[in-house]
Amino acid sequence: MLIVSFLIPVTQLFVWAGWTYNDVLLTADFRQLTYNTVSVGLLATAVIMLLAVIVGNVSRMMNNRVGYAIAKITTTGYSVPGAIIAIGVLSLFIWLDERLAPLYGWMGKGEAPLVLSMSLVMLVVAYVIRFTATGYNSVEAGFEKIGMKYTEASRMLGAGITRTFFGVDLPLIKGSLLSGVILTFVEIVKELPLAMLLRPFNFDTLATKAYQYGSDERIFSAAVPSLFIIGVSTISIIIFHHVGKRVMQ
Amino acid sequence: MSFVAIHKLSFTYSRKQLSVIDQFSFSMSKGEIVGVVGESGSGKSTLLRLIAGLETPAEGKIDISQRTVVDVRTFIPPEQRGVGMVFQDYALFPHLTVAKNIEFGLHRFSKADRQARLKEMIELVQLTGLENRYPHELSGGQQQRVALARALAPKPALLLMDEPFSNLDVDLKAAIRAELRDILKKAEMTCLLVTHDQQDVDAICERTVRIGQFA
Repeated sequence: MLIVSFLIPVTQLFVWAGWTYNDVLLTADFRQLTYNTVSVGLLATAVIMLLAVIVGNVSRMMNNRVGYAIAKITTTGYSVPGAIIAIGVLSLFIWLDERLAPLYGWMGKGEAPLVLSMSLVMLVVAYVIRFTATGYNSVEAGFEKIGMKYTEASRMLGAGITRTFFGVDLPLIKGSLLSGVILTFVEIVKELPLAMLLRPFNFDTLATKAYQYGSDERIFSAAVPSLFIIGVSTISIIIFHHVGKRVMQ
Repeated sequence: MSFVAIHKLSFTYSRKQLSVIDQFSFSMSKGEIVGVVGESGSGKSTLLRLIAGLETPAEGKIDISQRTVVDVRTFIPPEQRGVGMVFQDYALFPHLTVAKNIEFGLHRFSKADRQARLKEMIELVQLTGLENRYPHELSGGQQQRVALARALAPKPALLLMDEPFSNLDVDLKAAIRAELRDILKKAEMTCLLVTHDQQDVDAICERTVRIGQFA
């Protein structure tokens, strides 16, 4: 399994990269591409995990149909294809920009420019809609594992909901939180359709670059950005693994 | 004047089901140790959870030291009721040491008072030397004593204990029963203890309340 799904393709990529790296590394700024990919990934992951923890805790505390519904709504984005989310987010942001046009004018940015729809905010929002499910599922599994007993014990000792959350709930789901971060981050790093459609002008990620080479019929050149994606994912897993070991002790 | 007064308390888990607790009334005086006995499923744990504020009753009223903690209009959240609880499975915080577990409820104490209270509690339950252990490094009996110390540390007006001996083996049970009675008397604690074992009640409690069908 591992040979077919990972070793053979990676070897193939290395061979192709060997043919083309001279050319590709010169024409594209890989430091910038990697930086773009990692930074947008981290930003979206941070927002997603924050949302996941808040929604997870609220839905657990409510423990009724409303709480269940909130949780379901938060995670539906995962079942919608990226391109459809992209169109939805795009129309939302263009509408927002139209509404905010007077404000932009007042701030001296000219008459009706597309401020939000040209910014990274749009891409991050789309990632949050699409990938909250991966983060949320980890957090929910963590909450389910610890149950309500520690929360109840904490409140019986005079701690309110906030102190209970930071003193008891959060430390106890740290492990699940961390695996949610890894899953979400890696998912975003290799994501293509949303990045293609919603990236700001001149903002490329490793995935969009690889796609660009591919569609230019330079499939061998696509090997280099692809290997960078694998590199970023692997390094992040190693880092999180080490952090995880420390956290667990 | 009774210290804990429960008046016509009713509770049901869902509207379609029969009441778990139906029109239950009961009172306790200060310093009394009362045992609640009943079959499993008779609603004895639910009674504790209602007094603690972890469940909301359908109707009825609970007063603790002349203050209404719950009735039709009032609901005082668990953290403000001044009630301590020892859970059936102890629910010790696995990420905190014995000392930190016991100190958890002492956040309103000054640092010096907290240290003093911690020392006092450790001595009371005879856990000296184990302060820096984690719960999983303790035996069942030791865990139970930590849970008791943790619940007693903030000086609750009322202590609730849910099946405190169910996780202990028989030999340990007898020893700990006697010990528990001494500790509770020493701390002059008003205590409501739930069990399915009549022997627990005979050994510790001054009075028994039966709950369920045969009440």
